[in-house]
Amino acid sequence: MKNIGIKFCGGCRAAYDRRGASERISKAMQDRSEDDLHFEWAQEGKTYDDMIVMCGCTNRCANVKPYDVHGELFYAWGEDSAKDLEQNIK
Amino acid sequence: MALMTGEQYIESLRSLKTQVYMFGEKVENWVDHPIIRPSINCVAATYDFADNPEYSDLAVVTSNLTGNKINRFTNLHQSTEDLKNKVKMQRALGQITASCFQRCVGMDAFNATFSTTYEIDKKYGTDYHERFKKFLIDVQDNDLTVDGAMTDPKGNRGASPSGQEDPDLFVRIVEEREDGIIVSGAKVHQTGSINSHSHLVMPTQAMAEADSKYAVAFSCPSDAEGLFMIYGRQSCDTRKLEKDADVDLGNKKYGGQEALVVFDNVFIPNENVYLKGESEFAGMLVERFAGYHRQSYGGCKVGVGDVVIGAAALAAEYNGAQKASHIKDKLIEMTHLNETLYCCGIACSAEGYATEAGNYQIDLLLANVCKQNVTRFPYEIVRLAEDIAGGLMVTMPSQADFRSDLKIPTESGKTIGEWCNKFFVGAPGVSVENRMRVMRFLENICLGAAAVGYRTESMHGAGSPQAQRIMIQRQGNIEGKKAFAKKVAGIVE
Ligand SMILES: Cc1cc2nc3c(=O)[nH]c(=O)nc-3n(C[C@H](O)[C@H](O)[C@H](O)COP(=O)(O)OP(=O)(O)OC[C@H]3O[C@@H](n4cnc5c(N)ncnc54)[C@H](O)[C@@H]3O)c2cc1C
Repeated sequence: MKNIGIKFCGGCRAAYDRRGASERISKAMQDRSEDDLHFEWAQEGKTYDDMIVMCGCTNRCANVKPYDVHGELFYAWGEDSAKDLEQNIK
Repeated sequence: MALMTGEQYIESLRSLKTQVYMFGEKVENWVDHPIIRPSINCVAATYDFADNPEYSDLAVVTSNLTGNKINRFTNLHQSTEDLKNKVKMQRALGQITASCFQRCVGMDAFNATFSTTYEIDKKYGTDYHERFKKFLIDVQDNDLTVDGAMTDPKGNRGASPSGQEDPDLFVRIVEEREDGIIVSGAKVHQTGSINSHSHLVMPTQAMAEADSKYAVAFSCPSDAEGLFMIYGRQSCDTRKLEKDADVDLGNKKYGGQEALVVFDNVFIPNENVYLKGESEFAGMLVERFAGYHRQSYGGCKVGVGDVVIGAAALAAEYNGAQKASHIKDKLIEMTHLNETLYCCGIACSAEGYATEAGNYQIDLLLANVCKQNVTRFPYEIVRLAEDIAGGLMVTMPSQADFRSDLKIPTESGKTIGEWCNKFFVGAPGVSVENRMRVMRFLENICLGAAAVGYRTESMHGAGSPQAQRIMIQRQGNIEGKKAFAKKVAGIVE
């Protein structure tokens, strides 16, 4: 079982539906993974194998410092990058 | 205590015994009053926002006073990053509510009072700063909403506080006691005051020594004895009393609120007094509060502007005019104006600096430029929105007409609803109701209840335009600019 955190920036200039995109990306990630993945909204003080960071714009200002992520940080910052993650995330 | 949810906030208001009057009567259950409730929902949104993972990155911070997680609305800004995040949070909330969510005045008052009390104590050896910290820790730990109460009625604008015929036209100390002070007077235009748990009262302007009784700052609960509020009515407010008027309201769920807050001999214990006669610090407190509040408008009004621009674009689509080049250009202009305000909000934050007390203050010149633009751009944005929408936004029959099945006795025998739906049709495939909804929203924001927040508050809130021009003149460094010109032009005097 792998623990995946989903983190959002504050969304002041979000040009797409970040929550909907995060759900599609999580599903795609699970479909491609051989492990069982557990997704949750990122919580401070918790350790994550990977993190999906859903930003609203190119500034990508989501604060990821408070999280302990062992693996990768996957960033989306707009419709295109979210689609890209959906298609390629592993 | 943990952060409150919106629902818990609304419940917390019920335990207050706040005295509220409206339309000449006392309002007993003001929490559920249909005219007041949308403004309460709007404050509740600031709580739900913090509870939502999509926004909590902006809304939840760690208190520098306690180390606890708190709502940013109760935060002391610790960096320029914090100042920028404040503006971003306000923009996001404006997008959600399309209204004034009322909690910014408190946040701006906390930061101004925190740094000013530190400097008063340094000069006079008073303990205002520690008192204020205690108050703020209580606010943070209990996630309270606080009214930042600055504006006095001021009576004759040509006279000083002590020069008024009625001494109550500025809040003043009427009696000093061993254990505290008695204050009288009033604060006008108080945003969200009824929806607040507490009030943080500050002087309205710089004070001369002769006005030292008016140089007073304190906090007090909304239901303190001798304190009451009279609701400020808004354009179209009684539509909220109509049955089935959700379309006609334009924005059914959210709204703003202002009220007259009267202090009729209210006792304030010493521990809640943060300025008492040190008249030379009144100006500092006012300038700092106004600075923060002028920054705030570079966030909240921009978020509301986002919704206005979206509504104008929808109106164009529903009218079938969205492809016209001048419509596209007007939407570009609206966006340009709105983002210019945002640039100002972010810029005055990015150029902020640490005060002696440690919290961060915005760049005063840039914040004043921000607010000066706010006194103009929303007006131009609504002008363009009205242009794009067409006259229907102010001439359409009511929702009740659109839904009426009363037959009109003419040859075709159609109902009122059928006639309305026939003649208010727009582009193919667009429902008449959706067209009505977007038009009514624009009416609400351009000249209905929400125009209080989007237009007149943009003009006068945080100070009328001339107040910013005075600050721009003071901070504008004309001498420095003359020196540049002399050097480049080779002028030797
Ligand atoms: C919607 C709204 C919400 C608000 N919310 C709050 C709040 O939450 N808390 C708060 O404390 N305040 C609040 N305010 C008050 C705001 O700060 C004041 O409206 C502003 O300071 C102007 O004061 P005034 O309305 O009394 O107008 P006035 O001071 O009467 O100004 C009207 C005009 O007269 C000019 N003028 C006034 N006095 C002089 C003078 N001596 N010399 C030359 N010209 C003068 C002004 O420049 C302006 O052009 C709010 C205001 C609005 C409209």
